[in-house]
Amino acid sequence: MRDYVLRRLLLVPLTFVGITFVAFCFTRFVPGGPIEQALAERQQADRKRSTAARPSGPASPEELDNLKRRYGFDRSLLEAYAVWLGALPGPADWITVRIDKAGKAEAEVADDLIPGKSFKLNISQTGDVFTLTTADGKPRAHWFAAAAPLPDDPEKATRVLVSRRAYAGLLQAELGDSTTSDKPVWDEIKSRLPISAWFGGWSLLLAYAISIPLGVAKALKRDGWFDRTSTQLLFILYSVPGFVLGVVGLNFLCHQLHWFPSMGFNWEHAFISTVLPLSCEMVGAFTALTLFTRNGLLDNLTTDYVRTAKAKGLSNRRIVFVHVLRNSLIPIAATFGGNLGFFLTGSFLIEFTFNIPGLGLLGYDSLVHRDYPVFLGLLTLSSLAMLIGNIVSDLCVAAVDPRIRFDKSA
Amino acid sequence: MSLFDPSTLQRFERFRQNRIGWWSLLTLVTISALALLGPLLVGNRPLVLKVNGAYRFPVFAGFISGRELGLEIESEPNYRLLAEELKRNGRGWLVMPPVPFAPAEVCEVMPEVSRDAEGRWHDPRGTIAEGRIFTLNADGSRRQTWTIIAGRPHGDARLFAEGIGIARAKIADGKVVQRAPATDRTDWEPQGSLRTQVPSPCPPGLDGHWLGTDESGHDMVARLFGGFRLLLLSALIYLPCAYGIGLVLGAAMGYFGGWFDMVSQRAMEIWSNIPFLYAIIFLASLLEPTLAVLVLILVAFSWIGLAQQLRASAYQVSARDYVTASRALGASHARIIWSHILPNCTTVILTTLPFSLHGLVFSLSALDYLGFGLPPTEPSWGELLHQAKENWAAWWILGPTLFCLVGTMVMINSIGEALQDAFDVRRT
Repeated sequence: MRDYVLRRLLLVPLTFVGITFVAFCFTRFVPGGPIEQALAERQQADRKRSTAARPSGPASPEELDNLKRRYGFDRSLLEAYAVWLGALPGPADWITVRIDKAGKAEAEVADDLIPGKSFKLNISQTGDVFTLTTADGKPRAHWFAAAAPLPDDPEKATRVLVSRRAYAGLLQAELGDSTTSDKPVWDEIKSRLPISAWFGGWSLLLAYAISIPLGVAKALKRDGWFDRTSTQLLFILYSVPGFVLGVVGLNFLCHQLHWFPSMGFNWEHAFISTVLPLSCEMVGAFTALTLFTRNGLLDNLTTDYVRTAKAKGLSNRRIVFVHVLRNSLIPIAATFGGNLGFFLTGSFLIEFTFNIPGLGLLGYDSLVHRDYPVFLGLLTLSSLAMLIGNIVSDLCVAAVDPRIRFDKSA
Repeated sequence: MSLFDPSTLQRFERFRQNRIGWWSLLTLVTISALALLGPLLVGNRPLVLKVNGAYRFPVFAGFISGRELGLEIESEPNYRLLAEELKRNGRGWLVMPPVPFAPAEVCEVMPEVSRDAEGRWHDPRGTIAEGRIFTLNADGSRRQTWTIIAGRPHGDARLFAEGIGIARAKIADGKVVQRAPATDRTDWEPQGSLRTQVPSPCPPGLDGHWLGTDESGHDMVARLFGGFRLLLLSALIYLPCAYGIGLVLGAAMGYFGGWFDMVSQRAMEIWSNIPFLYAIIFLASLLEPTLAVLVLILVAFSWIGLAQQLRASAYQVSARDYVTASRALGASHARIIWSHILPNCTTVILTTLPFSLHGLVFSLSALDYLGFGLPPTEPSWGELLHQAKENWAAWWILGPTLFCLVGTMVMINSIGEALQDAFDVRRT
């Protein structure tokens, strides 16, 4: 078992790199990315300003280059991905300056040792080599200068990029800054996480707490009126997508009857603003789980070991709740790990419908605004959750079913 | 395993015994057949048109200029208005489809108005509080308009020719107080076939819209019908593609095994771990979201589940003795897959089919609901749901859409359950 888990854990980074790389490729090649967005915003701002203000026009090569550098589009795909991952050092802080006629320039940059302070760097050019010194004439660690020529540069003076190189990627637990709010992606995610975890936790708890007993009850009273009507009801519920139920609920219970607040989520009124979204979120999983439990239990009730147990004189209660239930939980345990992802990433459609500021809505907004750092951050989280969830599922199965030995089959 | 061997017939019998599933299948097939009739049932071009003694079939012929029909317009006439005009002047007749609106047509809901004994103007909903009444040309443009306040003409009245105002008058308390040009002798008393306009979304029952109109003025019946047609079309693209890829890859993986299986498994793991909805939204924003593109993206993400299932069943079959035997007899890989592996996969295909359809309907509706799906001119149930969310007072948008969507889903799932019962190995 230990070997199996280790082997599976070793495959996780490989698959993870695969997933994030594919997603990273998307962000590079999809049109309408952050640069286009920034340019469009600029144009709009220009249009809004009165004509007397600063003359507008297309972005200069210099501004375009700055935008590219800001969003990491100046590097090749592989390099950019490695920087995002934290396997290569990227420019954590940078500024471009022009060399004057004397071959010198000054740059004021944020201090990486004392937060909130800045210091001056002197750049001098000799031939093709640039040297960086601080005010007291010593070189500064991690700071580099390199020529950054522009195509069709209108100015003659050499353009120099002064940058601090540092590893700042996923491996260093940094996800970059959001391109829409300029806040660190981690902060964005952290501020949304409690809400998603709240909904995810409750739906997980309630789904299992209701559907397993319900499934058992249905199986024990098999083909009775309760079993048949509840199966039909569950079947119809299963056919209603959660978001459709959400729209209906929003319409009647919120807008017409005013039983629930119509929009958003509020910790002060947590209960009342949870009920409706939570029920919609649970609909699908709830039905599947109940029927799973019921059918699993029925299958197991006809097996030989139940007959043996009965012959031995065990009470019906003991047979069902100790022997049969445990066996019929195996297929349910196999899907348990999948909840981990759901728990973390929230339900996209429900959060969109009820305008709940959870991780799902954050993902939606990041896609609409092409906020790639946030998108990749969420993807990282959800794919990690999924990969680990798969292993958790296997462990759950092994815990419920001692016959299963992954070492042999794998 | 031929089509009519006893075990197949037995399964079919068992499928029929599940009454809900069987009737769901019959209903869905009937609705689909009706949907194939398309513009013959729901459309804004008449089935038959007789003008000045000549028969025409615009539903097949397509665009017919108004001039060809003896009207003074170049554009296509509004046939619903033309029908009334023909009835009045006796130049001919026409037969519209049962629902005389096209799914993509933006309708102006213009019920006729009447005047009560006290001289107040009414539309079918009651006295007009504030609005306009007008007469129309055959192409649907305004001929003469009057402003109505509290049921009586009050304010501006205009006369148009080819869309341009040529005369206007100011009316106060039913009397003309000012006119321009001043010498104009037009009668400013409202007369003729007068109508008023109801803003969209319009409630059911007005102007031939049985279920009203949606936010942008599409007829709800036509819209729902068009949405079903789109779903049908997407299923026709989706199922062969998804099952084709899933079948070939799944069967090959299960049959060959080894490193091919290993590599494909890893690739599928990566691909299936990319959050489906994120990726599809991403790709849909990259490519022009036409129906075919959208469905192919769905295929790209859903073949994996099918391939996994088919792989498992191919794997089981390939370990059987008869496969080893035919290999020993010198049968090629292609022959073994074709004649042994694939027939054994039919059970998997048939029993998963309804659930794939369920997924397809769900995904397409969810995408349109989020606004990442088809362009808004295309009829879709998801888009109607979005409107219902934004426009909560318009119950006639939510109700029928909910009925159609849930009804379709219930029918698909019932068929699925019946099929699973019929193919249940434990019962054979």
